Amino acid sequence: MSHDQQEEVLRFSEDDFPPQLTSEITPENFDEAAYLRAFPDVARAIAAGERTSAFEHFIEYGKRENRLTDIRYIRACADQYYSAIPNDNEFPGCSIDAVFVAKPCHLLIIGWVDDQAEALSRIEVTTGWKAVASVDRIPRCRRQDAEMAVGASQGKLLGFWCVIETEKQLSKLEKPSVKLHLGHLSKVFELVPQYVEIERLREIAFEYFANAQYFCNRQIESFVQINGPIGSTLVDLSAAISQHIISKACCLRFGPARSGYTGSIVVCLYGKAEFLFLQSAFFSMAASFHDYEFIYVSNSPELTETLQKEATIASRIYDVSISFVILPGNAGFGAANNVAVTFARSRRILIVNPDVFPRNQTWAQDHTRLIEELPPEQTAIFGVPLYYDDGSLMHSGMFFDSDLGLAIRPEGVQQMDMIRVEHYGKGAPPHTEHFLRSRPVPSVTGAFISIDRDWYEKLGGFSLEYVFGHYEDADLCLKSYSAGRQVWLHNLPFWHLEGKGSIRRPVHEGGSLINRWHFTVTWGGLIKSEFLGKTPRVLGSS
Amino acid sequence: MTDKRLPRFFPKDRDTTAGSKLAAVVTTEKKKVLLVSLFHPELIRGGAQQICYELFEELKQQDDIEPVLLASVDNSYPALFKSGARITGFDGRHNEFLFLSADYNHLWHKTGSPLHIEAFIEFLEMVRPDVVHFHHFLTLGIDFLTLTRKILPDVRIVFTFHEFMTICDANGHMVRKTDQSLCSHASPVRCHQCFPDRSPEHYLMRKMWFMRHLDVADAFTCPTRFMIEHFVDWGIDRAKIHHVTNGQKNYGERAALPPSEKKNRFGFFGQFVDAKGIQIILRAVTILRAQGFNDFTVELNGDNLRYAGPVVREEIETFLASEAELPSGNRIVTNNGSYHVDHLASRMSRVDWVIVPSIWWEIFCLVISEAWMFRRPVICSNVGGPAERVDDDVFGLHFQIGDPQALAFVIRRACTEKNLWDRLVSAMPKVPSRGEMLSGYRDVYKIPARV
Repeated sequence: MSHDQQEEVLRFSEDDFPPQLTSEITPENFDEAAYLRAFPDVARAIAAGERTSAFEHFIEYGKRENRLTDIRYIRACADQYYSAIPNDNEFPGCSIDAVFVAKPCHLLIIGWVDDQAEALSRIEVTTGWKAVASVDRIPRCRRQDAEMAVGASQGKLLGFWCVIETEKQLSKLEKPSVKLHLGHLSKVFELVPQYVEIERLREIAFEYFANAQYFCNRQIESFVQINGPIGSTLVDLSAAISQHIISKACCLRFGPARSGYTGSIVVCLYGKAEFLFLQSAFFSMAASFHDYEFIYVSNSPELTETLQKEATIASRIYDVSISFVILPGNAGFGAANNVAVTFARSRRILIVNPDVFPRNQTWAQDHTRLIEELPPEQTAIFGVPLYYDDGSLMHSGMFFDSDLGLAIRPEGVQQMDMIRVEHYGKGAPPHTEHFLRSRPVPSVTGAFISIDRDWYEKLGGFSLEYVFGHYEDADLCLKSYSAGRQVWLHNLPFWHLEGKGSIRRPVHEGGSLINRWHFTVTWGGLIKSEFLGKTPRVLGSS
Repeated sequence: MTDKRLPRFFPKDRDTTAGSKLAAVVTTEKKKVLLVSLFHPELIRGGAQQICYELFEELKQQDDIEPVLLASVDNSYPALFKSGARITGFDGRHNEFLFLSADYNHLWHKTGSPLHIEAFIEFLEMVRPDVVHFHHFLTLGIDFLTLTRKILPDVRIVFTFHEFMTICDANGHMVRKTDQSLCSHASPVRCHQCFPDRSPEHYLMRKMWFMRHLDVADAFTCPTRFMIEHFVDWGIDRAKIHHVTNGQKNYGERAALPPSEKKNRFGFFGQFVDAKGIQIILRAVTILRAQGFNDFTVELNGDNLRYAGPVVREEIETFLASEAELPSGNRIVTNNGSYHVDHLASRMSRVDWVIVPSIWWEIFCLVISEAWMFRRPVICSNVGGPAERVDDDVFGLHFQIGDPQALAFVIRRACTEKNLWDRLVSAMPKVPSRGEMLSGYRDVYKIPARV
């Protein structure tokens, strides 16, 4: 250590740590107080006499709900164990709330530091090997608890969180040190990390990101915070998880196996099983439905048994051919559809959301007719008008717009372009002719995309870089355009009960923020030059 | 050696000839009518299953029809759930079978059990009926209609609406949960208002789901005509929906019971639940008592107060408790508790009038028929099935639904107007019989009566 660097080492024995982070949970080592601080709902249930203890709640629900890795609990523990570290060595107040480690090589660090005087420049993790994160890789957020602890004035983001990819896998025998660098000052924390599955680490990180507070507009600040290598790290991490999950896919077939199909309806399910039998019931009302097959792919392993039963029943009642692709985790919308398509038995793929249903019983022959009668360039990839439950139009193609984001902070104003996707005709009367006519459009929603399978495969399917869902549909359309085929919209009406087909949790909000950033980085240039607005230059009057 | 032609649900241990009887069902020249019932009335009481069973009994008397009954049972009778079985016989009876309901999804009204689907398929293929008449879908699944059509493409499928459950998520009552008013029509937003945790989109899907399955039926029936308008408004093809009255055995044929001299004894028969409106009677009694009019009695016959909503339940319990504290001579209301059909004569003998104060549409109201069996005129709410069946001031009296003041006025009139009771009784219609009901269903089944 050079003489101008001052380093303070804080050592914590395992006894100092929340016991539940390190050992088997028993009533003796369970931290009732922290659990109740973190989860007022449990405290209320005990007060109402519905529960006898926090431990009872943990055993019945909390364990399954991963409450011990919930950031509220982590913070509650940090309050007790690490908070308000005394500044006895000129190093300002700081705290490491949690360190999560996941195979193969990722760490998530959450904490805060009072770097009003000198900015947090680097976080370093050492265990005999070293992983370094530069300041560009450290997203910041507001921490009101820290502001109160150190008396910080408004405007400075004291919280931080960081996903770091290490150079080698961290074994459970190794106890990492986390070093915070503030200019010439540094402080080392020797911690006992919590080892979690990589999907759980992603979930914690994305939830933290989704719930992060700022002084200014949340969307804009989110963009600013992940703009740079950290954003790429998150995208790559998610893509790697998705790739791993779909590599384990297996497919079960139900119902009649016909010699060939005109089209394969690919549906990605998440969190809700009922749409399998609802779609089977409604789609099978078409006279020519036997020309089509369903490929259901589930991002919810916990629904497997239910879906297996429902596929059995649906094939018996409706005489539909169903392939059920089982995944061992949530691969996200794009990856799940990609692997499902590999099990399709036709050359035409219909990407359909679970909450999309035909508006008329001729949909199958109408769709087949479109494929057979229109020029191939108009059917390589196309969407359809979608309708809300109230009968008004929900979608007749998508266009792109851009928001100018301004992040205002003491050190200056930062500008960012943020691409936004909008629907043509959203909320319009159902028969608004100019929204329904066949025409090229910048993009269509992934709720319904009919695409030639060869073209889909040539484009590489959906990009895996989009986390969970959102923006991968527009990405696919722009890939198609860039590869030489425009996206079309043809008048084949379907219901779309938007947002009802799956469950949505905070982690997905984090994913959406990252997706918008990634989409902007990937396509912002092309969109601004050729596709911006309702009537983009490249499509003329469309 | 096992005879593989015999169905697995065959009750070998009780009726050793039932196998050959079922075989006869399969091979006979008679038209076969499969009645699919919500519950068996001897296991779980209720109007829909009672009517279905009355029809079954009448069909058994026909020499050109062979009826088969498949009645569901839920886990309230665990002893009837034989291991590994989904359909069994019932107590050794010929052509009566039980569907052992399981994995029932009450949101979408379907079973989640593939084995039950297979059992029903096997049953249909075994019985091969000419007509499948669904008296409900509850505990079985609305998708059984579509399944029936798939397995037996040429079978005639008839569905009887016993309430509005396909239209209305609130127990089919079409009473708005927001303010207890009668609901005129369902829509995604209106239904969402009654069930705020279910979205409007859910109700679009719900309607599509029911319609998808009802679409395969050849004919629908309703026991009262006003129901037809509700279903037509909802989307059922008017050409497919028919009125067929509920008919039942007449339990009062032995002798009409003599009335009291004053004609001032009123009775309520039915469930002590909100929709049946017993609380309206109690409020009317309170009003009359406050007016100083005490020369009448009200007898309550029924039970299931535990299924009433907490507010109504408390109101009823409080009233009955305070009534019980009065000197016997001052009491107006008496609670006789539950009754069986065998008790009807004695319970009816203690009243002159039967009050039907339902605060929902009330589809048919078997109590009206039962009152007529014993020549007791009915005082009823002025909507729905009761209003359709009871002609006001001709052979019964109406009052404004849900209005205790209006009921109090009618009670006072019934007690005081000379010759009113005799005039109404003299015009009272005959009780719809099983035969009338069957006649209606023969038309719907397209099985004409033999001349």
